[in-house]
Amino acid sequence: MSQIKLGWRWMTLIILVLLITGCWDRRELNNQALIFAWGMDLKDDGSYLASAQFPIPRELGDSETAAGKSSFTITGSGNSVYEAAKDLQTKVSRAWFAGHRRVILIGDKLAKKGLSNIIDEYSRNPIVRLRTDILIVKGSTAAELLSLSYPLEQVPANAFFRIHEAAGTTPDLTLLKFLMANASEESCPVLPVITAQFDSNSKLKLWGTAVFNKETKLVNYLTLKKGMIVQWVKGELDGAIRTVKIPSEEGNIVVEINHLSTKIQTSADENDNIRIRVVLGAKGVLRENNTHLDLFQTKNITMVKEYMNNQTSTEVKRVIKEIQAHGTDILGFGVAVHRQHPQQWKELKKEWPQHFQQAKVEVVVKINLEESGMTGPSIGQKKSEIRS
Amino acid sequence: MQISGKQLFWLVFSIEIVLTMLYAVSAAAIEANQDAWISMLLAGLMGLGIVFLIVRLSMRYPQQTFVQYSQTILGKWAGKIVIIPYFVMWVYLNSMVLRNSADFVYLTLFTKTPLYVIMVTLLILVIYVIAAGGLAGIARCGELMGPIILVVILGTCLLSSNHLDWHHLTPVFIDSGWKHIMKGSISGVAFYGDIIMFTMIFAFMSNSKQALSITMWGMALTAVLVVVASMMVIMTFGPILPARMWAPFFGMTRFISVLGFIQNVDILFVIIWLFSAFIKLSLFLFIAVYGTAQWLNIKNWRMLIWLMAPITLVLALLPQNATAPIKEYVQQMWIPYVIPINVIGIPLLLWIVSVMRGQSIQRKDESN
Repeated sequence: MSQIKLGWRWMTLIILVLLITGCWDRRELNNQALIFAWGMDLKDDGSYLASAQFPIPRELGDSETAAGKSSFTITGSGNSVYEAAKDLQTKVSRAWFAGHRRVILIGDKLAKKGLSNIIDEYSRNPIVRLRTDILIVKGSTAAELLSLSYPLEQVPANAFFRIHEAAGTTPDLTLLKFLMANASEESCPVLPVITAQFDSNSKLKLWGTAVFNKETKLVNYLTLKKGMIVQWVKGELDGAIRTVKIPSEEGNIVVEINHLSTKIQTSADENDNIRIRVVLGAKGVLRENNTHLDLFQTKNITMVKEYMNNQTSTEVKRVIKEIQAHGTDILGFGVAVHRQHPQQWKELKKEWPQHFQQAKVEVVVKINLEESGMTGPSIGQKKSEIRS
Repeated sequence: MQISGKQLFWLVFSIEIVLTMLYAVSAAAIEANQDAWISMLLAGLMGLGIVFLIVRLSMRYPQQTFVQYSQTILGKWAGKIVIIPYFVMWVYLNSMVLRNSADFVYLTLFTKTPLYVIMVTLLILVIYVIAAGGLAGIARCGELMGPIILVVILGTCLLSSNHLDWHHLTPVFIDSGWKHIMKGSISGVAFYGDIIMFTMIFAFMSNSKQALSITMWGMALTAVLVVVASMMVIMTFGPILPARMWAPFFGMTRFISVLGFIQNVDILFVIIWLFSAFIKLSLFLFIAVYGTAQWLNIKNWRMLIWLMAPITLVLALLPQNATAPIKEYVQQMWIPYVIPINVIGIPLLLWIVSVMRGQSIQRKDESN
């Protein structure tokens, strides 16, 4: 009896050993080409051009390597993301693996046509993580940008990511934020914009923000400055600088602002007229005084503060007007209306872009000048020029 | 074969938590968007109600399994007929759990490995634990793996907490209203309905007086964690995206990145998923085998594994697509038939009949 039992056990063991070898999904690292950055462009015939940047394993980790040789870029074309990727595979000696992809670049031509047809693959494939940075390429193509070398980074792909990160955002949340805004009933999505500078050493420049409409078509560009204001209104900005022009003076005053806060108050009357009041607050530190003003005087500080707040609110208003003209709610106004008037929102949401366009927006800026530095009047000025 | 109170607690917990967390949340989000957590809260309360019903029923006959006391209550023939829906449920549920666990491994790890290889491997392990360890072996596995499951889930929640935005939870209630919230809770109830399987287990308890409180605690812990999980999913992905995701909680696990170096922790989640699937599958297959043996008056219940396991495997291989079956199964089988008939209808009927016939049966039962 025990012998039979023992025999059974051996049988089971042998079968198990045969089954759990796992040959099917063996993926050796040195048989793979890791994709670090991915680019998508629209070709003239309407098909897609995919480009992938692979690091060269031998060159990685070697600090002596001259920058620019550590990666190479290959392109493939097709009528869908995956088709283009399969075409790309025919030009690479190893099976590519996208699990380490951190950056996706998209050419502006494709962005203007709409992203809805390509965005699906980036969240469906189980290998790929949702934590990805995604940037729009303005002025050239994604494939061109990917083939640039970048002097500071061993793998050029990291340059895109880090430039975006240095601008004070969390780059790997970009794709998720895009998808969330796109799926929401209130908001329109935005993506950061990068451009190539072929004449400069740095080669890349973070340009600003691309605004998309509800069909995920690129409709408007905002410069970095305007993009910052949008971020401030949305409550996502950490800090910025403001340059204040004093009408009676020649030079200007530069204030660094931090501890930014945003309050959006909304009201909707029975005719669905929307009123929005945006209150922006911040703490300011005076960094530069190129005027003749003596900033030991409270009245001068108050004056600077008033000019700063007025000029800022005018600028914010102008940016909001521009965004309203496109009917793309990237400011979070719809979200605010939804949260503050959930019952009325059920009606409003049906024609929100129109309501957003017609909304009356009031902007109040309350920057508090808390610190004006170690000197009162500017040190570089003659005593006779200082005005108290 | 006897199990302790502690073992029962971990069995209830590890069987209920993982699947509900993964799938019920997205089903609730389809109906209730940012109010999905209210749906899950209601589902949890209804789950506790079901626990109360079935434990009170089972405790009228603490020495008998469901198959036995249905015959005690309704008489021999009616009692046997009443088991038929359960028999269908056992077989079907086993195959779906097997299929689903294989799908999960297939989607997350082994995309080129044939599905049946994963299934057969898992099934061999399950057969081994049932044949060699019986219920005691399964319970001991639960006692060992349950705490690990709890720790990993708590850890996942902790690590995901760095980019939560509670604003996504607002406005509360007004957008969806009772109707949609209730609808959203149904799929949660469908997953909690699994607890009906335990009517076959209470008879093995060493101290059956504990059964009610322990099962309640196991279910309550599950319900609380699922509510927390659904809130976290909404706070991470907003009110709309979870409804479109296959398993939003797993998506959130994949999204973890703390300080740029604690990443890819989703593999831990795959492990506890397999733990849960293993316990669920072995306990349910044991119940199916043991229940069928009692139903057909077969003495050597272990023999039936060799019948049940292949049936389970074949049924599990039938659906074609990897991600669709679990959702369709819940929508088409579980909600319209299993919940109203197996989980609520028949136990309630048995309870009413048992109460009406009253003390005499219990006294007779005790004298046996």
